Amino acid sequence: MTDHHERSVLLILRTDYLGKCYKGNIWGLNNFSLDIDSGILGLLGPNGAGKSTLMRILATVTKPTEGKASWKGHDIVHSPESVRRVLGYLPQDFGIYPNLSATEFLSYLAAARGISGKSARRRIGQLLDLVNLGDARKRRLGSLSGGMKQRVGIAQALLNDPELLIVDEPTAGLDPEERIRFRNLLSELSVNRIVILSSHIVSDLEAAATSIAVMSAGHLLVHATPEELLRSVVGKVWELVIASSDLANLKQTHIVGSTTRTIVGLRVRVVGEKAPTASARQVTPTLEDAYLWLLNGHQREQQDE
Amino acid sequence: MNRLRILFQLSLADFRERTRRYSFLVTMIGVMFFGYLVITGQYTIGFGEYKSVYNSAWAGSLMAVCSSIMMAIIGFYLVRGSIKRDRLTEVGQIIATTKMSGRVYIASKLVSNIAALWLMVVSLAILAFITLLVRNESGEISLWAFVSPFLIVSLPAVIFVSSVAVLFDTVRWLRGSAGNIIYLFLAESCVVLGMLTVPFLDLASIAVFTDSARAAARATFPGETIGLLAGFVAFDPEMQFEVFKTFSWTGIDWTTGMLLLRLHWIAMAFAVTGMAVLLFDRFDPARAKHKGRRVNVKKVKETASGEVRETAPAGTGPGYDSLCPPEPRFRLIRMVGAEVRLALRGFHWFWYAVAVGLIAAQYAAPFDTARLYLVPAAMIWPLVIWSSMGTRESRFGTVQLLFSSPSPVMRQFPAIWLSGLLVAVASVSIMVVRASIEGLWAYAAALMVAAFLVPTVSLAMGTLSGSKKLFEVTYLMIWYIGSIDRLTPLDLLGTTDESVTATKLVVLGLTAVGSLVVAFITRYRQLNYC
Repeated sequence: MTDHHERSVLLILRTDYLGKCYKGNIWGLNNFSLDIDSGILGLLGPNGAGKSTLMRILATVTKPTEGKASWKGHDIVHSPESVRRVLGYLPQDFGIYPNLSATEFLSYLAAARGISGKSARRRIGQLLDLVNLGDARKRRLGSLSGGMKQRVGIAQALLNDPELLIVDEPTAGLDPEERIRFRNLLSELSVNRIVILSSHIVSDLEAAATSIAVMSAGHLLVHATPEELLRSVVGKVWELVIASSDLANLKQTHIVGSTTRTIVGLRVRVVGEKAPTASARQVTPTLEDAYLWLLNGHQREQQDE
Repeated sequence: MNRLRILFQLSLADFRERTRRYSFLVTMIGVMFFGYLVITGQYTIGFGEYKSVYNSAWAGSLMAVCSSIMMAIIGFYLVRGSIKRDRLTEVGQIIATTKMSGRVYIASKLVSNIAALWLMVVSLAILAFITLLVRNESGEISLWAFVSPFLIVSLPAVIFVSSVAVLFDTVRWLRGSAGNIIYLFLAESCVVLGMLTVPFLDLASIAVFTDSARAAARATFPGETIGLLAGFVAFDPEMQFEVFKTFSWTGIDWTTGMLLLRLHWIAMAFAVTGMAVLLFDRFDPARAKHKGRRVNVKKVKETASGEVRETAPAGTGPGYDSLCPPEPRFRLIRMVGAEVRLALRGFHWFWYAVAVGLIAAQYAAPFDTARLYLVPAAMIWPLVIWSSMGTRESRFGTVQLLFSSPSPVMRQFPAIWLSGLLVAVASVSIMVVRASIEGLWAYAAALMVAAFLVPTVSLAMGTLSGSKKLFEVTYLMIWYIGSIDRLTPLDLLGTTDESVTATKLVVLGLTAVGSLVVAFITRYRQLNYC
């Protein structure tokens, strides 16, 4: 009991049997328990897996129906202020005030977050440079593109130099170069902080996450390092070339991953215990293969139940 | 045929969408309350001590005319916003990519508006009919005499108001609060002028109804002067009578000319809808935005690879750790300043010019002129600022950003209220000083209470409803009836000495305090359950 208590204080962010029930008895999150230490936690899962619900609860925007969440041992469900002061949050869908410029919008949020005027002014300019919006700082937000607005969102999440950064689908709307830039920024941030990052783009997490939580239908399927996930599918990933017309049949019997069109046919990755055909060759697994393997395994279990 | 089917399906979907919302239920309760006021004689059109026998014609005509007045003034606010909703939810952009023409889309909104308003009129008609069954004084019931006023008077009024709502939703500068204010003036002018002198502006057929009934009264009581009283009898003791002289009235004898005047409203509705079709931008953001909001094309650069980029390439600039650290120090005054700046942004220069002009003119104008006209004008001009309080976060989708900030209820929320309060105080402060100098302490107190009440009630209504509409419609009505029409009990701005009483000031002050408590409790609950 004493050991358990000491560990909970040392651990930075902890969830115990978190659950969120929406109207119609639909559980967006169910029995979710996880200990999160510094680094980048990638949340991976299909649409409706509960990633955003979990993030909203941790960001103190939504109250869970059951369970606990704590930050450095403080209950954030009943005392959300303990985490709000050190929290940076980028929701999946967020709005802006279209008549304000990026600088004005960030100044407004800095005031709401209790950052002194002088330091806010300096930091806002630097943050806008960091997210590559230095030239657009005076433009009205209503005139910015979706990707630029998303970068304003990233800047606002960093206003208070957060210890806990929660970013929900942050790369949506960013071009490939900005995505790389953002991933590098997250890696830099993760040294002394907790970063929780959700995405259904596996490559985003592959590059940045130090641990990954795979979720499905509100449940946590697995929490592991990328290496552990990769190890779980070693010897289970195959590559073969088939005719395009055979793809539908193959999908009915096997877990099919990425496909690439070549001059000799369709090159297909398949995840499974056995080789799908005699000509299939074993290949080095990727995180996407591990994700598909886990997800399909869970779905099969649910069907069996 | 296909177009008709599309029109029907679109109208049906829109009608379902609006009638399934909680606000529609509240609206229907409000409408039924209005019906109750009419059947109990608290809101009426009458002839003082002269009263018609309560028969089918009187019951139907009175409710039809009263409901038409309500439709003309309030109906617009009850149905407007449907195109705006499609714009905000971006459903409009999906619709714009379909084969559906702008004509069909606008027509569907018109039909849906008509259906919603007609449902309210029918509810009032049912209420009136039930009352007739209970109180009938003639011994017989004539269905046509009861129903015909609704078809001839109310239906054209509903169709016309629906078309104006569609037009106001289509024209960019009429979509918001400016449109609400302009409509109120147009509707009030139309009702008043129509009732007094201009038959073709008589949307609710008040003159036709009262002329016909008054003629019947004169026939029964020849030589007697039979006046006309209309409005909220409950507020005016002079309009209340214990004993009545009754006369028999069998309904309006509709002539061709009268019917043509009713049909002209339907023709006008078609014309107004046609204008809406012409002005409809088909949700094209490029046509909807200001010139200044367009993306600056000079900033778009092309890289060597041919990929179009919006700004400098990645990888430049300082790293995160070299950024200046934030210094935590919350100051309410800074938050209030931020809220004031946010509230005052986005207006045309003309708006600021009028706002400053109205305040400055209070200093220069004669005291009575300032009291009767300038103060009421200054207290309606910032309507949109007040109505945005408590609703801005949900309307612009910044709820999650603000609710995850430290102490949103104790930091940002008071700042919203104080920013509205500052605007209200600025609007009346010169007159408060002038009234104090003149020794008119009661008037000065009335203005201070109003400056406290208006933004506070607005914040409460905005936080509760999540929409600007509730406060805008309620305040506009009270402001117009109370401070422009000078109905003493509703005059919040003390335009006359009679309208300023100690009891009233206490009641209004307590209302403001209660509203503030409600606003804070509501926001606290939203914070916990969003």
